Amino acid sequence: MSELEVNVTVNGRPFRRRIEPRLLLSDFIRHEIGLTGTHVGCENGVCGACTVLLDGLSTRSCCTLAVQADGRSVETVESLGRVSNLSPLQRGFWEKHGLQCGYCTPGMLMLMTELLRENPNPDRETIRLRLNDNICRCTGYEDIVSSVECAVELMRGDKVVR
Amino acid sequence: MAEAGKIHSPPAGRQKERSDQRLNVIGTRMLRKEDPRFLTGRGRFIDDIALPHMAHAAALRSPHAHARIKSIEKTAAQALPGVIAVITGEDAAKETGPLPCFANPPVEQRCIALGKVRHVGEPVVLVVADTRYIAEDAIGLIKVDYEPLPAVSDMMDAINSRGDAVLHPERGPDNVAEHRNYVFGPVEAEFAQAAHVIKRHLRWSRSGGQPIETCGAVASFDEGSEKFTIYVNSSMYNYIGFTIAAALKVGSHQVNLIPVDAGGSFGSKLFLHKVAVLAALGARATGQPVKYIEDRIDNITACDGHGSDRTYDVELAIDADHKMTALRYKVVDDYGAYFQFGLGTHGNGFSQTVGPYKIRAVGAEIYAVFTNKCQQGACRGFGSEVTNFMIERIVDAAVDELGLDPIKFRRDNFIAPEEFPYQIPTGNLYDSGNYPGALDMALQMLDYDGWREKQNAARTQGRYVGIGVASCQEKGVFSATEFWMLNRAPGFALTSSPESASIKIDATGKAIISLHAPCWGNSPETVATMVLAEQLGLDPADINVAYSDTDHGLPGTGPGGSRYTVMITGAVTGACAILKEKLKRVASHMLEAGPHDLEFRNGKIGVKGASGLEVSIAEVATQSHFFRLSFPDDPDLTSGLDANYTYDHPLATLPKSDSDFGIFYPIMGHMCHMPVVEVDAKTGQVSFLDYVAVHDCGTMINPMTVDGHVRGGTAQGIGTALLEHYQYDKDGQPLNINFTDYVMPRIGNLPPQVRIGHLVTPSPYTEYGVKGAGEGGRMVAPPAIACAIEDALRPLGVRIDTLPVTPSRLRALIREAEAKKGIR
Amino acid sequence: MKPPVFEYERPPNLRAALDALSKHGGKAKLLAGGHSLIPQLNLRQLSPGRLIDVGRLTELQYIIEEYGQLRIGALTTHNTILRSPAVAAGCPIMVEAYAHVANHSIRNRGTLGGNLCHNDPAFEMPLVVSLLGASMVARSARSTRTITAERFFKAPFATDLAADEMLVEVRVPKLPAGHGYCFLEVSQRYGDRALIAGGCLLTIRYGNCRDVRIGFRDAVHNAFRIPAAEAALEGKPATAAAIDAAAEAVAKNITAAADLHADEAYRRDVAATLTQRMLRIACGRAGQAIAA
Repeated sequence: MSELEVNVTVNGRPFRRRIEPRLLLSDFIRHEIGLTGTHVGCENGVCGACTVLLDGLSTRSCCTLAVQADGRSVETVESLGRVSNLSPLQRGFWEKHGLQCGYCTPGMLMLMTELLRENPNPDRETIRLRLNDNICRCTGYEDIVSSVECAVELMRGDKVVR
Repeated sequence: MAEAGKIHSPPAGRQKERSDQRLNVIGTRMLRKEDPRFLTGRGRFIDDIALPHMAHAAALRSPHAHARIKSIEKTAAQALPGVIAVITGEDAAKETGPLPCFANPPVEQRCIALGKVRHVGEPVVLVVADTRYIAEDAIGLIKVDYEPLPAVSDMMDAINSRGDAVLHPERGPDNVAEHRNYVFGPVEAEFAQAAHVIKRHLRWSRSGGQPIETCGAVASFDEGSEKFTIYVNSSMYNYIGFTIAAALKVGSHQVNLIPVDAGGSFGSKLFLHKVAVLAALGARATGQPVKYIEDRIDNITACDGHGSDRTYDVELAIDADHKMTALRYKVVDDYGAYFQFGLGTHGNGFSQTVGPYKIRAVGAEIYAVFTNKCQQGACRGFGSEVTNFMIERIVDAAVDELGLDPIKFRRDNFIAPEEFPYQIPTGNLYDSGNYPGALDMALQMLDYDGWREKQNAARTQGRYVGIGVASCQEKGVFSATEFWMLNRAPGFALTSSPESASIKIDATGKAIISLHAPCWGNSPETVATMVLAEQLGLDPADINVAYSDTDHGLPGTGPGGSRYTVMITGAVTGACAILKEKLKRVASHMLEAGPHDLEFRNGKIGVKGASGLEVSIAEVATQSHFFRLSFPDDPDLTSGLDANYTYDHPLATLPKSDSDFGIFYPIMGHMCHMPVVEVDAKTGQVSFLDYVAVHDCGTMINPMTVDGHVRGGTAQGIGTALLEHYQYDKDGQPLNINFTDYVMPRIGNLPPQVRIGHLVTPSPYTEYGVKGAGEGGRMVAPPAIACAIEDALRPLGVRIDTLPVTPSRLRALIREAEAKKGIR
Repeated sequence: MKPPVFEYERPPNLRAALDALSKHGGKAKLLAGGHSLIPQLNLRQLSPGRLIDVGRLTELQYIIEEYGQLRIGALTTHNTILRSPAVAAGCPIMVEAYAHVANHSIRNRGTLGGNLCHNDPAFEMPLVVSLLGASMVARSARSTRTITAERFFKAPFATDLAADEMLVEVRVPKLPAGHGYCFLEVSQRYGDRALIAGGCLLTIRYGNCRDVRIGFRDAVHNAFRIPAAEAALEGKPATAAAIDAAAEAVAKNITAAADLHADEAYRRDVAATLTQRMLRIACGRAGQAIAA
């Protein structure tokens, strides 16, 4: 049972840790680095609650080994904004009731962050198609779509919120 | 016997806040208090709890559905580096008793199987190790010798089980947990004189809440104080939490249960006992804090939270004027291996067993059986969603067989708006409602006639488009009697189901509300804040919410049965009444006016008719906290500004007999759903062209969060109707143990939009007239969708009697129907 | 659900990876994207003693257009292939099928090679490359060989690769411009495992269907092309009758399967329907619309 050293940049900060190769990236983020915003739902790659960005690409951290992130850059929900300075996407979710229990929300936010970087002006169909990736059990999804649309408006400057 | 009909001397009730007053905060779409932490990834869920020197537990899951445990070889596991303890059922039983069970007589369930396993996935050994990874390695090294016993998987077989196939021999010679017969009103007579009797056989398959977060606990045991501290994502800890102490064989004051944010529940986390006891016994055995979090397989196979699993034979008696007169059914319900809530899910159904209709007699024969599966728990609707399915399916059957109009038949049988409060044959009361109004709103929003035209046009093109309708009840605010009144003997026949709120206003005028039940995503902080803001005129930004553990907790039944918003509104209102009295008393001295001359306005207290004479609540608070000697020396005026209030059920009475259960679930919401579906007859896939959902949940505290529940509940209802089914083979092996195979709706499965309409018939009994809204969507969507699919396939004569309507099943029904009609 | 213990190495180049495979052979698994392998490890369905991480071998990430064929490096990710104009032009059925492959996030990391080597009976790409008549290039430390699709996909979850071999390239013959193609999938949720998926390719020359390929995946078996269905259409004019014949041949000859989601009758039945639908679409794309 050998350990090896990994260097992973998480939310812009470099971390060096000795870990077992079998350590999942989700557990690395949550327990080695202590960022518990990324949640685990199935460890099977189906629900998407554990979605983070790995070198900017949405990735299911429960199906990724931490060693696969060695030398790479991970972004988690904690990088998006603070309560006093929410990102437009976080703001959109707040405005439009895009969450209820909050458990799938970090995965949704990271998935949509990737989408909005690719395409800052997605239409409803494009949002719905991408949203099909992740499962939410609380909202019925519609308010999440509205939340992303609100974020698009905020980013464009069309909308100002208090 | 309870006679169905309008109650002419209705109970007075205890409502203090009327529904027809002008409101400033209640009724607005205030953004949620809960969101900032969840949006920034700073929620506190059970797996986020980390204590120093914490160890991790994993359970060896039984591979057998039914077996005796002959021996357990654990030395290799114990020797694995990093393993701290390997605990068998026998080890656990030395210091730990059975898990709580609210059936009477109770059915024994152990947190770690003792002597026998009764379902696949049941914990057989608990391993505590430095990491979950090592614990799972150790599990692989444990050798358990089983003697397999006959497994029963089919509920009809369970009725006739004998010998070794019996799961609980101490209960009887077969696997019948309960067999009860109920007669509410003149059932026999009504059927004897009926002009028409409609019959159906229905099957509602087992599905469940399946939140994205599993169940878990983190426990520590302090040897110095001999006290357990247990974090657990359960509710009801301030209601029946003492039963966990009992399982651990300690006094209830030796266990402190601490709530955490729950990542969804939908009933499945209503009262978690197994995970809490497992973590706690691990902590006691090892002297370290222990975290036990179910993984997804643990959860699907052993969460103790599966939903109803029923077969119905139902009959409806109709008179010559097409009025429904009586309903009679025999139901077999597969409860799985244990019986934690007894027949509660059927007691629940008796609260609304005639639906919105003037049916005057109900007969019910109920079989609850044991099979070798995970046991049932609470699942959004708690059994009444199945009652709704039964009622609406038999109504649709009557429409079909008698050639009636589905809208008119319902309308003609509705309880009329002027007939409330209405008593139903079981003795329960419906507080208020306007069922024709909901139907009309749905018809109008859908453009029902327009869709009928489009349907006709689609038929000429060979497309199968259908319009469904379902008018269903959503009971709100359960009373404790629903749990025990169907037991063989009442047992512990508790009658309290309160909710509490504690409010303190500190010396700077900021308010903290303490809640005594957890957040499931049901917006408790937002609701409590809004009610307090309404009552005292405080700025919601000056209010924060905290959650009490059991050491500091007041009685709190918690969310479930669509009760929390109603109950916390009552509790906060009650606490505010105490605060207002004190605020006025202190302010009256500050303003030199009588308390009766004062009013609350915009966060201040002022003299009526004198706009300049006022003080802010913050100023009063400062005086209250620090300047006792500025006020008269009355012994009943104390420093400080806080109030606790325990709000009891707004309207509940004791059961009177086996045929009159009294009032136990009277806050009655109502829904009318109209989905429009298209069936691809060649593949059996169902898609939605439109969906209208009209909900009446009385006064809405926050319409935004109500809409969220409607959409989420409807989505779960769509899952129940089309996709979700915990499948077991004939040997009791679960077939879909992960999210790949337990199929829950993604956005692609749902209508492009669920168009929501609100009808408001306030309750006369609750504060502000609020009713429950949490369960409604799942309680009406399944029959509405079954109706729509039948309507779509009417040219073929396909009947939908079984859920879920998967593509494979639907295609088989279509093939059968085409064969009958000679269509190739 | 945590993986069992394993040794791990990340060879810096293909040569080193092949040497590692030689050395460890049957006791090692290659790790590419990991989105098929790691869920299996989480379930402890596998316990490989060693993982050889080849996910960063950029030398196997390419799409090269040559005359008549596309050469796709085995470690090219699904999303890269899905977005490639060369793939869209040369074998558009691949792009159409890709819409059904898992989901966007998984496609970010999953590789074509990983997908083909896993050969899960619900996976679309093994069917697609079989229909396209692709060949797989496998290398070991000692040798290179080219394996036809028919031979490559031996059985569900099994390929023809030896323990010391690695799939390095997929060679896809480009189809003539204006060819007909279609890929259709029926599942309970869009993006889910297919209940049944089908694909077809054909060209229409002088009014007749040529080079007809029809195949299915049923989530259980290793079935691919249905020769009897192809024969029903090969050389014949593209008419409703010919398509009916092909659909009937599919229904008769397909080895359908039952699992917890669908029974055999369903798969057989729907395969026939998919045949009808996809051949109509393919013919339409090939310039020959079929009357309903």
